[in-house]
Amino acid sequence: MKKDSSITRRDIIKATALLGVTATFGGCSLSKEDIKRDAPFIKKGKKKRVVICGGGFGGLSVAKSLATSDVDVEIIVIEKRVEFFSCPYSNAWLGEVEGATYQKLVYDYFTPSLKYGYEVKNAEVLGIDKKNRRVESTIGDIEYDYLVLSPGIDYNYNTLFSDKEKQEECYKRFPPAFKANGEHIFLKKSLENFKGGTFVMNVPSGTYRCPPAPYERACMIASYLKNNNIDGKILLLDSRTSPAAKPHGFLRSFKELYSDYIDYVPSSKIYDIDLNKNSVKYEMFDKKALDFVKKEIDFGAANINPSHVASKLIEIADIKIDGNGWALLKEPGYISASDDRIYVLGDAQGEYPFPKSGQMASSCGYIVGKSISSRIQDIKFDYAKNLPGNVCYSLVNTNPKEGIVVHHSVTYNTKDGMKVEAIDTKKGDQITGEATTLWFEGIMGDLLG
Amino acid sequence: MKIILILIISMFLYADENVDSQKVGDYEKGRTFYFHLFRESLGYDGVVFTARHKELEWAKMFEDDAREFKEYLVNENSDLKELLYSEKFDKSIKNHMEAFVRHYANDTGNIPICGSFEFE
Repeated sequence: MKKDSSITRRDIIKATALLGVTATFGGCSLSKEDIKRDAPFIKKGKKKRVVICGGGFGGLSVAKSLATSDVDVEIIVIEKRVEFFSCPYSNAWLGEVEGATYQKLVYDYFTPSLKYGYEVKNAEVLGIDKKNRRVESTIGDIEYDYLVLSPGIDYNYNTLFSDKEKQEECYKRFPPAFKANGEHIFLKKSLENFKGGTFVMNVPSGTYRCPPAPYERACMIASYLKNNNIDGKILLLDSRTSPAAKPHGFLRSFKELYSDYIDYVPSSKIYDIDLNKNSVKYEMFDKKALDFVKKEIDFGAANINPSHVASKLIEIADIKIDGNGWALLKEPGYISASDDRIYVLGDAQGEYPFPKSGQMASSCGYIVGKSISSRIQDIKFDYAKNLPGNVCYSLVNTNPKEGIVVHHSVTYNTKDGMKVEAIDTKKGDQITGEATTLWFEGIMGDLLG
Repeated sequence: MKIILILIISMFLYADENVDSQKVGDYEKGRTFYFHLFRESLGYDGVVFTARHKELEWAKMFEDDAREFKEYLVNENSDLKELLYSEKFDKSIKNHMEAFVRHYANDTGNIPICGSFEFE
């Protein structure tokens, strides 16, 4: 009888994990042992096995790179979501750019898995047994020779306000939309239901995923309001003194395209929210008084963004991290500073000043794939000669479709370490707008078939 | 006794989560103050400035009402003397500046990236 009950509970959490709807706050009272009991042990064969935790841009790039290399290796991607949702280009869908449908953002894992010959296991990681080289997951323990962690981010609401109940309620009512995919659907509904007034948005504090995203989102929402004759205005609060990415292009767009629709407030920060009144309290820097002043404003809709931290999986892996929880690596590669068999890439790494973008994660993923392939063949791999690069497009207008772009080039030497240089465009144009779509279709075609 | 102990611990935990930012300092506010009040006078941006020292070195400069920090900046540009020795600096700016320079000190691993203040 007890066993049956245990199975039922385990099945429930497995199903929850498989559906990718595990609660962001709180959690289930079942222990790791409850879930693992009776789960199979997925032992590896003679071939070397690489297990990749996270089927996003970084993880899938490692998988493809390895699968298309000339080394005979077993590749398993563990991903808790049943489908791939692209955060890049999701703002185009939000702003109703022609041809940017929801379907264009969602992909299955079967196609790339069959095309390239790696396995995608739909499961959630519960623990990592580094000593025995096993990933403990909801479908059992999976042995590995090399482990790649590309798990992305989690949210940290403590930097907004400390009340846990308020944090939870705020997440439910105004989800950030920096993770796939329900949060994005909800944001889209919020915009469609917005009748006018103030649409409050804030840019996450600290280092965060996809730096241009909030500014691009503001442009897309503003464009939507403009195209639909909605008498509303976006209040965009940013703790920085100018946009974190492509500042020239975004500031110019705010001024030239959306002066009636976007009120960009630099050096400002939300410190409280009244969920009954739908109002936010924020501080902003007053240039005349040369000090911060407090303000409060009612809103009709909101997109409240907490800070970002490395995914919980980095904590579970118990590897070396920096003061903010991002994983530290052995320079100039992607091997964890504390475990020679574990690689970390994408948004979760904190060793290098790389922008946390899908393109950068993918670029690093290909390098990690090549380096593991070389390692298996006992060939020395020179990370200093295999540096990543990044190109990042943002749309600033929907009709006509106009975009801006930044290129990041990376240099490395032992004295200065990894350095990143950025070159960005100063004004939106239609060629870059079209290039934005082509970039998106290109990277999706490359990784997801 | 047990209940009292729990209450005391809870109070400490609560206090920890609700620390007055004026006392502890907010590095993002410090960044804003640096940008508007110091950057031009010093002639370099926050990335260069904060990376000049290790966290403990900065912390030491802020001991004794930031005596050493004030001297350090006045040596760089004496025009900053009035601001640094003002009540406003001690009351509204000092703690945020300390949080800022310590956060981005060269041994913290907090690297300004796209998504931080390098383009300002």
